[in-house]
Order: sequence, then structure tokens, then C-alpha cells
Amino acid sequence: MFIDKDMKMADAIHYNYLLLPVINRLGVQLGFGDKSIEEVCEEEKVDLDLFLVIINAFLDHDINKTLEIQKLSIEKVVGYLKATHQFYLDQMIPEIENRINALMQHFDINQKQFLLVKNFFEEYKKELYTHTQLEEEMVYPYVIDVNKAYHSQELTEELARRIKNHPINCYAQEHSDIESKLFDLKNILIKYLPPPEQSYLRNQVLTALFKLENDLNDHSRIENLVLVPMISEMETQLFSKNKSL
Amino acid sequence: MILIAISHFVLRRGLEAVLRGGNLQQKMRSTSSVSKAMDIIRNDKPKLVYVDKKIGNQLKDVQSKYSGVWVPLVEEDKEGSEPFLNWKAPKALVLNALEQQLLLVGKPNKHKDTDRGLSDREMDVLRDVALGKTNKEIADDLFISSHTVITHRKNITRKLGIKTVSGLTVYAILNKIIQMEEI
Repeated sequence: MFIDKDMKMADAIHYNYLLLPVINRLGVQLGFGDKSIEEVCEEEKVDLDLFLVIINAFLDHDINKTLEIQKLSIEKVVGYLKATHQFYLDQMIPEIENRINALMQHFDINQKQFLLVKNFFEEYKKELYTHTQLEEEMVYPYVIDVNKAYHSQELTEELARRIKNHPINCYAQEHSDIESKLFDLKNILIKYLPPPEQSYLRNQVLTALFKLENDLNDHSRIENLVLVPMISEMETQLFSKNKSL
Repeated sequence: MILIAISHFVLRRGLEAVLRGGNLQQKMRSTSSVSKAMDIIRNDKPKLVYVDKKIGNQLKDVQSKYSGVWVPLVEEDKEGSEPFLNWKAPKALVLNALEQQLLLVGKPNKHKDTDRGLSDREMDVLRDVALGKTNKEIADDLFISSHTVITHRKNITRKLGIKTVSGLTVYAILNKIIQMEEI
């Protein structure tokens, strides 16, 4: 079901509860009564186009066909992506850690084995930090610069060099390792760690990992389907207008 | 299963028709949407993917994790051993290329029964990978080519569902293939 502006906000949540943190990050809080998405967005001063793109991308609908992505504000898209980073680091990762620790307390016999898993998660965490840092310190500022240059039609020599040497497509690869590690961690917990005494606790860890994975997939979907094509197009146009470069 | 992810309508339908015309044993799906293609690759794991430049560019990170045969559509022949489909080539060449690519995935899987367990050789490779050796070191260690090492690694990942070196290390310790002290 494609989510459109006339749908009730509450119905969108009923449709898929995983949207809860997504709408929070977009600036919408619960308690909106029976208002439609359009009404809530207007009241909360949330960009309606951005809201619909993000929500539908999260549900993996084909946003390219139905929504006008080109109209979105790059700053707002980047703002949303940063908010998702914050959410991973402040909420999802600590939640997974708590659940791993709870599970560990019941893992007397194979403590040593379980330490392996914990270390693996620590490693993953570090990579996630590095990755978010790279995006926030390198990629997003670059994106903002290209966007500015595109709108002002003023291309500095330095930016031109960056576009030439490190266009936005270079960064598309960076996600893969983070996703692979998470995939491995899930399989180790599902398939290879000896049976736990408390399967409930292990399920809790796995559920949290699946949620994080789901959200990370969405994050890269927004980058690959919205951010990268938009910036790539701007890069091309900037260049064709400045042939001398 | 075969996936055709091509944005151009006529090209997509054309390739579909040509493939259907042969004695195709595989199921086929086709799409012009990047997100649909992503989904199909993730969930249905097609053995063969035809992809044009536009969609291919947006699927780069999916491709890096994909273990089947990836065939980009190109407009002139390329060097090297990676498969590709030059759709502008004469008919006989196109058909020949398609046939070769179908052969790559259509062969009955001789190792079907051992899909779950690792072979002895794969076990050797896994042990070395888990110990942190490079492909070159593993090749020298086991007297095989680097190319063979890569094939073994692909099969190990497919069988175990573990992609990263550190994940394989954890697996190897849990299954007592190596000792924790060795690393």
C-alpha cells in the first residue's frame, strides 16, 4: 500500500509499526488524533514531499515512479540521514548492547564462546562509528557544497577538482561491509552459537539486529535512490556548463 | 532464476523474448526499477542478472555482495574474462554469448548434496582465512592458484552464510576448526 498525503497518519503506523522511529526522526510525534498525513505535516512544519519519499522508501515502494524526488531539498534529505545516524548511535546500538549483556549473564557454560560474539559486535560497532563519521565529515559536506554550487552556478576550483576525482558515486560502495558484518552476526546467532538456556533473550538480540538491519537498508536506499542520483545529476550539469575545467 | 534489470522498455522486452525463445529451463523476472531489482536480488537470489549501465551503477553495492553471474549490457566488446552482453553485436554473437551465460548457471549442481557441509579443501581454506592469511598466502600454503582460493571462498560464504573474515574466524573457533590461542 502506497502511503499518500490523504492517508491518516495513524493508519500508516498501523500498516507498519517500524515506521515509528522514522516519523519521529522526521519531526512528527505521536498523539496526532485522526489527522491526515498532510495535516500533521503542515502543523508540525514537516516537509510533506520529504515525508512521503522517506516513508515510502522505507516501505520499499517504488518512489521513482510516483514521487517527484527532484523537488526535494538536499539539505533536508541530509538532515534526515544525519538524524538516522544519531538514532543508531544513541538508541539502537545501546539497545542491542543491553540485550547482549542480558543474554551473557545466562551463558555460564560457554562464556568464552560468547565473548567472541560480543567482540564481534564491538568490532561492528566501531565500523559503524567510522562509517557514520566518514559520511558526516566527508560525504554530506561535499553534497551540500555541490548543491550550493549548483544553485549559485559558482564552481570553485577546489570543488571542481573534487567532483572530478571523487564524484558521489565513489561513496556508494562504502556501505557494503557494514551490512555484511551485520548479516554475519545474525547468522552466527541463528545458526552457529550453541543453544542458549534462555532462547527468549537470544531472540531479543536477534530482533534488535533485524530492526537495525532494516533501518540501515532504508538509510542506504535513501542515499542510493535519492541523494546519489540527485548529486550525480548536479555534478554532470555543473561540468557541462564549465567545459573549461 | 534469471533477473533482467533494464530500464529501456524495448531492450528489456527484447532480451526477455530472445531468452524465452531458447529452451529456457530457468524462471525469469524483469523490471525497470532499481529498488525492485534490489529486492529480487536480495530475496530470490537469481543465478544470473542482466543489468544495463544506468541500473548497474545504482546497484554497485548489491553487486559486490552478489555471488551469481552478473552480466552488464554494453555497446561494444570488452577485454577480460568477466561476462558481458554486447547487445549491438551481430545476431549470431549475441545468441552465442547468451548461450554461454545460460550454461554458466544451467549446469546441474554436482555438489548439491554437500551444500551444507564444507569439503576437506574448503575446510583447509577456511582455516587459513580464519587465521588471517591473504589469498596469495593461502594459495602458496595449499599449492593452488589464487583463482582457486577465491572460488573456494565464494563457496564457503555461500554454504555458511558468512561473508566477512572476522565472521569466518568466529565460526572457525565456535566449531573448533582453529583454537582461540592461534589468532
